[in-house]
Amino acid sequence: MAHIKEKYLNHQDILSVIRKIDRNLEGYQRKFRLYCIGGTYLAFSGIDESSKDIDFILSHEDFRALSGIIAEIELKDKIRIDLFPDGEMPNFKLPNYDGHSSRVLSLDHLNVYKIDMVDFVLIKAIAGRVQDYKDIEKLVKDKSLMHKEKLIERFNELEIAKNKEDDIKRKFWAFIDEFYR
Amino acid sequence: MTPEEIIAVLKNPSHRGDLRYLTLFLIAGKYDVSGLTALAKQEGVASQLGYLSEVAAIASERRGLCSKKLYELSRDLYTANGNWQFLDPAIPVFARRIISSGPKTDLNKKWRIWDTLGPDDIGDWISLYHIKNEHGSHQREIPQSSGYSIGY
Repeated sequence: MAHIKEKYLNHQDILSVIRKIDRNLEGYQRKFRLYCIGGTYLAFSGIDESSKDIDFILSHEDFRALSGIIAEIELKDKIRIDLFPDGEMPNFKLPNYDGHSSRVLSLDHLNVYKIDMVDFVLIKAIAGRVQDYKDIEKLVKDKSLMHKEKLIERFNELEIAKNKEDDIKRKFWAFIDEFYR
Repeated sequence: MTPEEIIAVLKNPSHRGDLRYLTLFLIAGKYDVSGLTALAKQEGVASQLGYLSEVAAIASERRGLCSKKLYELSRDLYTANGNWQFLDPAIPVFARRIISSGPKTDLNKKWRIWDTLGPDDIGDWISLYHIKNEHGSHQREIPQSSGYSIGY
């Protein structure tokens, strides 16, 4: 059972995977962009939270070039890397994911960004699991800096799958009501 | 893990991952079922452990692992008419309000436990860590995720 805890990915593990991706991009004449979400975002925010996988949003164009390289790393290192082209999540699309992002790492062929904290909180709020709420609490130390109006504005920009609309709306508005109570 | 260590994690998980780890331990680890049951009842965490063992049993069953011991454990721990409790004692206050007023699964209702951890989450971890127990194993190399996991 010890192997379970050993396989949690910490910040250093995530950095090492990103460097591996970068090394595999030799020969490309342009820079690729990866946008951290989930546990990867927390790791780059200095929050000591181990993650079971690595999650990135990226453009469709970058996805086409990177998917093969990342698949090889996944198989070789027995880790999971989830890619969300153009911000397409399983139940919704996050448009403008790059609009408010900040760069956290620049390598030869890769720039790595954190999405805006508002988007991070939004994704967590509509996932609505206990772990997600705990992540929000760890990240948002001062609620007055997480403006309710911005969250609502960003929520209204989401493109939600029709069959998930009711569930996602319920989770989001419950979060707004209780977080800002 | 000894029964005492299991109960200590249930009472005070220092990290949310501890509860997942504990659930996976229930599937794959070696422990004394009767000793654990007695201690959980004595320490007032029978519902929490019962919930986790049934979550583990369902996840195991779905992945082709043996679930008999886990169902036995959950059956021994069950007592009707307990009070509603949170599985994770460190859940933020705002989240307590959301979770306790939101929809509940049959497992939540049976155990009177407020939490979102379910068999699907644990199934995902069974795949990720290639968890096996005495009568079964999960063979896939890299787990399928909800996103574009492209490793296989």
